[in-house]
Amino acid sequence: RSEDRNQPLELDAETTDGFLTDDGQTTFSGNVVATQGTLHIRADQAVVTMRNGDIVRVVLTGNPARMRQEDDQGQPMDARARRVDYDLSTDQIVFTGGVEIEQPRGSLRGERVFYDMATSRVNAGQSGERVRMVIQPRTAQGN
Amino acid sequence: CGFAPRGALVMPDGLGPVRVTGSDPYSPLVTGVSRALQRQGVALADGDRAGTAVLTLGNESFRQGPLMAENFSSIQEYVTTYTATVQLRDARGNEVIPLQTVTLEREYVYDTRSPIGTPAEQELIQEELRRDMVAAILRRVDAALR
Amino acid sequence: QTGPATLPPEASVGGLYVTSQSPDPWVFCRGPDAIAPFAPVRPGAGSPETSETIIDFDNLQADEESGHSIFEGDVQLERGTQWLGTDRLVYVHEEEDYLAEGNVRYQDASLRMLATRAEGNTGLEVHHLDQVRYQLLSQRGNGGADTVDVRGVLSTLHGASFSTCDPVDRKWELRARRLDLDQDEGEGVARGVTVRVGNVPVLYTPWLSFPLDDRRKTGFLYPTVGYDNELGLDLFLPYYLNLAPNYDLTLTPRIMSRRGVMLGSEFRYLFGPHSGTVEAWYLPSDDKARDPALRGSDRYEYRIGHRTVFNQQWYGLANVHRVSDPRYFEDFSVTTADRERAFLESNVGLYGRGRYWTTSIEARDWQITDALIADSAEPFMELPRLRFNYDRPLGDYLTVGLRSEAVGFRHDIRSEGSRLDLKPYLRADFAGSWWFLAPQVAYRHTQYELDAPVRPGGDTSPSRSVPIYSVDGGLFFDRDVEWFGRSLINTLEPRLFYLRVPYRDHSDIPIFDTRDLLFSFPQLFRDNRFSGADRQADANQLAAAVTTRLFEPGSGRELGSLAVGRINYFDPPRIPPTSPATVLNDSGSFYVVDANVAVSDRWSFGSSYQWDPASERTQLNTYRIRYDFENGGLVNAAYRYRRDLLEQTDISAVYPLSPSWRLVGRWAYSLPDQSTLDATAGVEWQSCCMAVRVLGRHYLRGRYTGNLDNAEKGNAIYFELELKGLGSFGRKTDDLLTRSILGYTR
Repeated sequence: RSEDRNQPLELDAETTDGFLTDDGQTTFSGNVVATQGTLHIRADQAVVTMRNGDIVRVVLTGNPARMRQEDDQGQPMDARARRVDYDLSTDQIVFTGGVEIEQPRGSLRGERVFYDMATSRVNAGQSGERVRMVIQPRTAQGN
Repeated sequence: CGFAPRGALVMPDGLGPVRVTGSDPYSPLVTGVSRALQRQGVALADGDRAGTAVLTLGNESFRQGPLMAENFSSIQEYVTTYTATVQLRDARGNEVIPLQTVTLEREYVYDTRSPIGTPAEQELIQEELRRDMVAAILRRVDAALR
Repeated sequence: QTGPATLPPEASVGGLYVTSQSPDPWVFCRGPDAIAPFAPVRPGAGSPETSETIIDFDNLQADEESGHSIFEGDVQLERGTQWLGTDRLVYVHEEEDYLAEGNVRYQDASLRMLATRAEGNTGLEVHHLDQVRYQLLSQRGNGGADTVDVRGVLSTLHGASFSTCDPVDRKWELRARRLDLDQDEGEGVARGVTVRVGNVPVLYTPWLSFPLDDRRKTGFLYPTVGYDNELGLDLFLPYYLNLAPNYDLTLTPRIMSRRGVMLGSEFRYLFGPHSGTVEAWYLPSDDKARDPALRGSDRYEYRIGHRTVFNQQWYGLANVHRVSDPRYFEDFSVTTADRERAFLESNVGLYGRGRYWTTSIEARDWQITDALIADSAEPFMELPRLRFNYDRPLGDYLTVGLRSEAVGFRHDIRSEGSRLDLKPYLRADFAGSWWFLAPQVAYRHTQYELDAPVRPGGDTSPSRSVPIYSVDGGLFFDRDVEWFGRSLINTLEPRLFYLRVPYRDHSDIPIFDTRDLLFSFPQLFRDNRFSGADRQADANQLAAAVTTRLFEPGSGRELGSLAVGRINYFDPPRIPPTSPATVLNDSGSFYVVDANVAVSDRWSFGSSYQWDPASERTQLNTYRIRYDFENGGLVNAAYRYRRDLLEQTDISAVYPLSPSWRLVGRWAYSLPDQSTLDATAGVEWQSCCMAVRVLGRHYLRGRYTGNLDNAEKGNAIYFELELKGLGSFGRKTDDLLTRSILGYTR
């Protein structure tokens, strides 16, 4: 949801390298779990980049890393990938490596998926590997 | 020369009473075959109790056609063919006698110059064929069970 | 149809040797499909509406907001049995609209298509494709089209071509401005059509419908072209009007170069329990009739076949067949079935049957269709004809029953009357496994009301009543035999039939519908020498016969039978035969021998023989041999001799030279006249999607009365071009061949 941004971000991990200072990077690793409003993240490692006190970028890696969030209509999106690069300044996320994105409307599986939250545009492919989208029949989606 | 009186019609043991049915409930064939079997000492199952052996007589049909291929001589020779199918299943439904077709034929001459009486002859032939079909079916069942 | 309705013998396929296998018309097609399958259909793929859509591609640009997704790079979309392949696919999720561009390939359960571009809506099942090549799966139809619009099962092609030939071997092709294919109805309708064979345009027609599968009657029934030295070019141009699912109309103008235009129409209908066909042919003021008396008169034929099923017990039938004049068939009909009929029977009746009874209320009339037959020879009109038969089993052995008939006989020339015939009977059937004994007693009472007596001053309401006693008995013996290495059952069945019918004077009794029964083996066991009720033969006779059969144990199939028999008259029969040609001796009947052997599936042989001991001459001598070749060929040979009636040979054969080429031939020869009755020779060529048949025929134009040489003979050439899957041009040779060559099948 767009107002997730204004929710408190809780982040929990086994080890932390860095102190979430105004500038610089902090690396959390080992069962990283983060929540912010409807956004839930689980990964093996998260690298958070801060600038002027704001988080500008989060890079998650995992086998796979998982990210779940609801859009403004309440439709859940559940994404898995080996690497998730979430650039908060441009609101763009790039999933790479065994990407699987599940939505009630269907699923998307490939090696590289680019998702621009601002313009809600999705790009998949450009990775030389085949991408598969599955759309549920209208009846299944309806309820 | 080896001929001996024909033995009784022996149904396979364990077959139990036989119910004779036909696809056409009003066909005289069913009545005829039932009575003929009875006279041969075969036990008949009455009514349509389920779970009995069933002798099914089916799709009887009459067909008339030229005996020799078409030509114009005033005497045309025709044949009436009467076919019926017969099948025997035991109480569990597996085939004792596979579905068979029994065909009987009668020739008659159709004088194209004076057809008077030909229809009457055809009706007589159809009635005879029905009676002979009962005997033919019994012969077929008897030989098939040998 | 087991009803008691008896029709005069239609010339249907020869009785004895009919093979029924229907060869697959596409057996010759070995070429690959016009369009090979794109992707294997996943097993268990459901119907598109309820299946998920799986899209594989190289990359995607999607806009969540507008729901637009653009797939690129070998995009493959699969939805149940539907499969779509394209270079680029734009898909709008909400509205389910799509646009596919570049190397578009579409496949579903009924067809495959290649196109440059396709767009549509998957929800509404609406598609539009450009520059299409298609392949129907149900009937090998394939071709191309500028554009195709698909709405569910209906597809409309513009600038389309259609053929069932292998693409590499395009023998014929149909091109149409517009082609509508209805997969549900299984019918294709083309507009602005040209049909080409090779590259020769054979037909142009503004409208044409044809089957996509073999369910429905084809629409435009394709011109039938023939040549007859009497009619000249003989062209049938049928138009099929599919008025409603349960009735349709076919209008067929028949253009005869030497006789003018005759309009034919056939209306078929099915309304609930009522069904039937009305067919009519009409040639107004025929001024070229061969018979000067008919010049300028209207010539017509009509035939009504109607059936109403009230319930399982009662049904009504109407078969009315009339022509304008006795020479109609001789002039216009080329199909042998109608030509050789001397009389047309029309009857209307109600038929009923029950557990032990059958009954019918009929009206029956005849029309002479042979100019050589005098009006007085026309059979009586029977109006009404009431019949009631009853057979009631009593206990295990007895049967009591009745044969009864009441008929009003009407005639334009001969004197009319009515007749009531009652024949109650009682029969006992005693039987064991190796014997049977069936005594029967009947009493026949026949009462007449005549307009005029048979003899001057005779009785106008004569009657005849006579008892009929008969005893039928027989024994059954059998033994196991070895025959050609097969163990078979051989039976021996002696049978005796005693018949006693006191003599009754028939001098006051007219002849309405009675005739001598043809002497044959079954005649030994009948209680009357005549058919019909006007004559009940006196009899004090004993028939003796013996039959031996060969059975295959296990299947019970009868491989052969031989029957010999004769009737011995204790008193010479006193009632003369109705026709002088019938031989009747004082001592007994002819000896009769009937033999039939089905040696193997290939060979079958039949013969019957009758010998007159009084004149020591053969009365009947017939042989029938049939041989089936492995490759589907067959040969029939028959010889028939009936003293003072006919002596003919008839040889017919179908000989396949190769899977594509077949020779067909038939030759019927009359020995006393040393002249050919009928000769047909033809060649058939078949390929994957086309068949050509050319048949020459030498036949008797009219009825011949003994002297064959002066009988008029006709020659006709039949040409038939069949575009498999579309229909056939040229004279329908199938009907002719099937009837002149016993056992012939396509």
